Amino acid sequence: MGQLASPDSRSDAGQDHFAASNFRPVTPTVMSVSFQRSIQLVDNPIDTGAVLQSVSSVAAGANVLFLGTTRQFTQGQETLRLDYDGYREMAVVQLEKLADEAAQQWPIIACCIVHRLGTVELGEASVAVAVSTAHRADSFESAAWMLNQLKQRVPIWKREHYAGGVTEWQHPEEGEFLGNE
Amino acid sequence: MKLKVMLFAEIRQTFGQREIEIDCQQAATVAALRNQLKLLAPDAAALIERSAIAINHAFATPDQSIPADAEIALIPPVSGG
Repeated sequence: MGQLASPDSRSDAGQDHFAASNFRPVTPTVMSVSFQRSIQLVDNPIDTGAVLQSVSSVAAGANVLFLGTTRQFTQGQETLRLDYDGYREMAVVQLEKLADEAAQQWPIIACCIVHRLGTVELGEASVAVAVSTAHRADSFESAAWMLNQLKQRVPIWKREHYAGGVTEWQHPEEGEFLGNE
Repeated sequence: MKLKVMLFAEIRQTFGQREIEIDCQQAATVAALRNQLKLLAPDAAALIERSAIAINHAFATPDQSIPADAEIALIPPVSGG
């Protein structure tokens, strides 16, 4: 598998790559073709165009980019902004693992996951998940799976800043926290 | 042996520090460590109970024993993305 075009230096401008494993070819145990993954934690606005560009390949007929963005209203409560904290070294390890697991289930050509830490204002992206595959069903499904896994097992936490002055770390009771299995 | 436990989010806020040092028996288990943490911060006991413990960047099971030089973190229920 040939080397993918890497993002040019212009698209990297302004990024703080605290922990990154970039474009390391990984051979999953099941698939015979290697796939490329890029995992990054950043402290500045995510270059979403670069994330999508980074998974491009002439072998791909499908490229999916998901962005998680800060939403203003949730169940009647107004969010002013979100803060994200993370256990950086373990977050990168867990993100690498879940990307590898995704590549064992779907024929992924390339994927890129970027999570931002620190303050994320309304409408800004806190997380980007991009994936490319030959056909679209695999891109849609694998991107959704990776995001769902991220939300269950990656050591990153958000703190809500509500209108009215209350701030609250989010430690959900519902849902499946996979850390405690 | 002395163990350092990294703290995050609400639990870091409760303890008021980024990590805490705990005196533990040699080869203490994850479950024993969790109990000690709950005793140190009874107000956070419910959240500590719902939290995971990570050893060297991997989630640990309750009966796992903790190596002396391990990097340990208390991982409350996550909310990334």
